[in-house]
Amino acid sequence: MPKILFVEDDPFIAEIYKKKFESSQFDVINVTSGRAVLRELKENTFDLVLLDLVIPEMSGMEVLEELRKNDEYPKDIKIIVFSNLSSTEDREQCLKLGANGFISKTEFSPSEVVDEVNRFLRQFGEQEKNLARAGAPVAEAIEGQPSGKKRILIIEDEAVFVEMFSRRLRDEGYEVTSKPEGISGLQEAMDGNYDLIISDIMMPGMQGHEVIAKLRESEQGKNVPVIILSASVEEDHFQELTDAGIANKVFMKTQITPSELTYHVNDLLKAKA
Amino acid sequence: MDYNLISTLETCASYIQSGKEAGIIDLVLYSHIPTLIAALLAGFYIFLKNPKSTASQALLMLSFSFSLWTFFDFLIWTSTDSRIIMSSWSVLGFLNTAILLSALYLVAVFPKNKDIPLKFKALLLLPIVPIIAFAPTSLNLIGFDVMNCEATENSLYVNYYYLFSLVLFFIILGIVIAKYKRATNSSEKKQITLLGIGVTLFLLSFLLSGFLSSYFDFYLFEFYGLFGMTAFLVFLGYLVVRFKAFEVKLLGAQALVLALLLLIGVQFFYAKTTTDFILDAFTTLLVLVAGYFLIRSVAMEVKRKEELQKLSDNLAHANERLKELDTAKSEFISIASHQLRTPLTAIKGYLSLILEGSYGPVTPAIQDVLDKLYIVNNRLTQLVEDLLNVSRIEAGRIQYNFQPTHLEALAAELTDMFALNAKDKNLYLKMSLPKKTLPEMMVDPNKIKEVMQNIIDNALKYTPEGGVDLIVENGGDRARIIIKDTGIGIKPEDKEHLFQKFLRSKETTKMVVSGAGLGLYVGKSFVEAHGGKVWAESEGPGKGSRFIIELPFVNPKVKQGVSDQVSALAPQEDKKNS
Repeated sequence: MPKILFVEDDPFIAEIYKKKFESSQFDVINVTSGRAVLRELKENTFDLVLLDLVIPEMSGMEVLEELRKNDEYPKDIKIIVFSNLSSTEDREQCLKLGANGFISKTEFSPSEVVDEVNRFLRQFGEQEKNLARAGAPVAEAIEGQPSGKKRILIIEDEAVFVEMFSRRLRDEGYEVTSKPEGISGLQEAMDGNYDLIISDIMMPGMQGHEVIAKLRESEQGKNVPVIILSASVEEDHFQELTDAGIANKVFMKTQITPSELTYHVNDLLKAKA
Repeated sequence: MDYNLISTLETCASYIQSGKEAGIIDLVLYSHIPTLIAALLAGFYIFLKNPKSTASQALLMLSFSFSLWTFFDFLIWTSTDSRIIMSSWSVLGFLNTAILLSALYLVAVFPKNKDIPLKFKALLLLPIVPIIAFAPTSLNLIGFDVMNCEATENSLYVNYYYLFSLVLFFIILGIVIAKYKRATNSSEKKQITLLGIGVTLFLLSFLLSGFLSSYFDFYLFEFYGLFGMTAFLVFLGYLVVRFKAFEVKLLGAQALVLALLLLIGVQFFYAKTTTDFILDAFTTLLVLVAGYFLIRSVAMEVKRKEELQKLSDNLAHANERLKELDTAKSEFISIASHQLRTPLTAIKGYLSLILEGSYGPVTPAIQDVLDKLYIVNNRLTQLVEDLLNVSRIEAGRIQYNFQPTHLEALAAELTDMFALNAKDKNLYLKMSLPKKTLPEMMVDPNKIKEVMQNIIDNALKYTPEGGVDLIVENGGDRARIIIKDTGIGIKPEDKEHLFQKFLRSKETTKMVVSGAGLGLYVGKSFVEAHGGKVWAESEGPGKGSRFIIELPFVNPKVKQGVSDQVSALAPQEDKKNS
């Protein structure tokens, strides 16, 4: 459960956000002044600090400066400035002082703020993972199961998506193959003995859901997890595809990042194992 | 040929004298002259209006041959010169046949102007050769009957051309009947019927009277026979006025005035005294002037009517075009939006990869810029989704997921959602619920929430001070949701367009720039799919606005939980409360 330090002096506003975050499985500690922030951070660790700029005792900028300059505080504290002040100067100033991100209060509704915070957290997590990978890329590959690498097939006609999604999946340690249309995709899915299949819907040759439906009829493809990515399926039809046992998960391409897709792949494979 | 060279015959002179006394000559005048003039006038008028039309050529032939016949007949009746009488008499047979032939030609080519094949023409013309050839010979007229002041006819010649005329008459009847049967529309049927009756009446009276006068020597019939032409002209006039036959534009008023003038003009022939003459002239002048004004005003009226018709035709056409354009536009949006998603997805995906450090560490400054890009890109994605939604709504492809819902719960959720926005702007947001809980209703909660959310969001956006009330009421058989603000209000002229696509009032652009102006439009069709209504009320600019959503407790459009959209785009919202 991510733990957030939420700096906000208005109890009414603080209450609303606290409720929002808690309903999204966050642990929220609310403090109302600059000194309280520093005190709290000396004693506890947080995944994220949401820092308002206009707070009693010290300004948000001063708090930021203190946190980054004073060695008593861990260097890797993630600080997101959460403020009404959103001029370019303010943002630049905050970044210079060591803020990790910026969420403008006026631009987001409370639930959108939660989404943004989630995104930042995921982003930070990924950044760390990527740093670690950059440090020891080969070692990890050997240390993992070299022959036991999970294999994924992407059936997708847009080369840019193949590149984008498979890059992230490979970073995660998967072996990725791709086919640019339905017919060869189906052949490959039948013969290749894949651990998971990701397919587009609108494709030349054979449509994605037909490919998967055919695959489901075969012995080899009966139980393989399938994720469908689509740019055209309307929300109401998502359920039908999953209900019909055609796909395990269906996502709108515009709504999913490569990392999010990767998490779902991880989930599906974990569940299978 | 012996035309009897005594040129001026005493007997004839006395014959005419006695005719005058018996009023016969008056009758000759009255039956011949006006009819002749009327026939010629009509023939030439129609011909000159449209000289290339075969039908009007045929009509001219008919009126011309008829006029000639009448003219010679008139000469026979009024002349005292045996040579004039004899030569006039000799051409009657030919003219009689010519009348029949041109009548046949007329019915054959009317109303479509399709000429008849040449060989039929030749076939029809062939029997006329002996009539022409023997006309000046004694085979036609044997001699002159001095006692009766008339020619003695060869019955063979007369029988021949009457028989031929009779055959032609039946052919004409046949053509009319066949044409009537083959006519494809009612207007054509009516035109053929009218022409057929007119021609038949004319020919029947003409032939019958000629026949009777020839065989029974009772020439008075002949005069009455000529009135068949008048009947024909009446039918012709009606055809022209009503059906624009012969492609002539003639107004009923014009035809009427013309006929009236003609009838009054005839009176001149009977003007026996100067007083009669002056009275006739005065009447004619009066009719002329009154007719002129009548025609002018009717013409004006007709012109206006035609213009109006043209305008409304244009309007209907333009409307049709607009509808097509709107469909094309929705399709375009749908396709374009789909195509737009691909790059948007790539941008989102790659931005996230860069931000996550997949391509190496990112400096804070770059990360901040990419964060902004990421957010903006998400907004763009949302906008594309909105556009797609609209085209889906217009194509009737939105699905509703109706389920038992408490509106109060939705209201509470939204109040929570917007509490902060309100607080930020120093506005109040108050919710008031009915004392007695509303019954559970079958609605699509997400859609209704979206509608309410949109209106509340707008209310907060467009309210600089004061606040927003969210009221849920029991309206008897329906739930009423009222969102009342103290904001900038709505101009009366904007109120009607508020729920249209892409509309944002001018005032609103000043305060906020986001939003494509789709919200209310989409919301309206959502509410209508629930059998409900949504409308706006405002006292005017600066006086706040009220948005009212009414949803029936029992949704008339729900069958099994999921329904297709029923009324995609009903016409403009009713304004009974505005």
